[in-house]
Amino acid sequence: MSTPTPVYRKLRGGGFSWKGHGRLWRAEDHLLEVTSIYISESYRRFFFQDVRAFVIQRTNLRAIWAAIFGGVGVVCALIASGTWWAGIANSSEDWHIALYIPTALFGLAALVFFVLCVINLSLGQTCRCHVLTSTGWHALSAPTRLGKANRTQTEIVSIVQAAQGPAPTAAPPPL
Amino acid sequence: MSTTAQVENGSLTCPVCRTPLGPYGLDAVQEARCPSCRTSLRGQVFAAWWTLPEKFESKLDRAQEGEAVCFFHPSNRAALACDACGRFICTICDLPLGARHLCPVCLSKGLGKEKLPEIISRRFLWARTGLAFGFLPIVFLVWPVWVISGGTAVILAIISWWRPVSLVRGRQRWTAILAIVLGILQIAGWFGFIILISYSKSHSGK
Repeated sequence: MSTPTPVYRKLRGGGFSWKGHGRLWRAEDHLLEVTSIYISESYRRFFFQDVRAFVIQRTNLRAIWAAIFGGVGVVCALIASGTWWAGIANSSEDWHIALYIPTALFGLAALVFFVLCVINLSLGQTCRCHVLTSTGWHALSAPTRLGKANRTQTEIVSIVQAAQGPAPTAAPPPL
Repeated sequence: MSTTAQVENGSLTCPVCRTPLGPYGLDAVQEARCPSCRTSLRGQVFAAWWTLPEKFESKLDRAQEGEAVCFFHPSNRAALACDACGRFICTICDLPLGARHLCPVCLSKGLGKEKLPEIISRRFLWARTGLAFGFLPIVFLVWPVWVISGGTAVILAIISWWRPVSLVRGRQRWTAILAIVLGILQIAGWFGFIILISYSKSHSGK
């Protein structure tokens, strides 16, 4: 009774959550959500015939992460500049060396956090995608950036409409 | 779309707070805010939303004389054949799995031995675990455990050769090969350290 594994095509955009790294894959008749923690993968399937709605929820995680990375970066930069200034102010040669080591370490940490902050800001606005089936709403672990989510939505809408036929647009969603 | 359909389907709710969104509450282009939690939402409702749940009782018919009957319920009329074993099944025994229809026996067989890719919910990746055992102890220079982690990496990589793999990435042999190479390097490195230490001790004693 063994059946061949469906051929999957990766959709744009990944996302991280406490469950691991998420990504969407598309098969002929269903959408597969893969959540990976490197050594194992868990799967959720959404058959195109069963999908009732696809929703993108805008979130403010981008601002939160920017504040965290930026804040930690600023603190590291302040500590680095403080130790550097103390090194200059101190006349002893031994103190110079002892203070330049934390300056270098905190300076490097500040640089890393500022780079992370810039990457986070450049990736665009954050979002969360939801799929509605007969069993209720299911939050997806990917995509988590609005630009990629828009492209994913366009692709999913066309596939689902091809599988189900067009929705009766004349009537609103039921009250 | 009938009134009955509206009542039975219920209202389209917010995915965050489950508050009814009301008519035209969801737009594919224009973002709308949930009236309760003020979350910005945008999306598409599909035809399945308007589809009534199939009436179970109406399709379950008693078999008449000369009609094909269900393999598991001889009094019920056969609705279709199982796509795996070909047995006639009624609507009670029909277990749709995507586009396929299976009988309970075939589904349970598939569940037990992971023969149905459509119902696999989790996969342990042996080769990747082997690679982690091969790579991480080298990166963190924990050489005293190299003989154990190296051996584990090699064993896991060998096991991965026959074990099921990721559904989406397929079998990645290079991961297993790399794990074996790194595992052997760790074992060789551990013995190298032991020889080096014993050699230096014997020379320092003289």
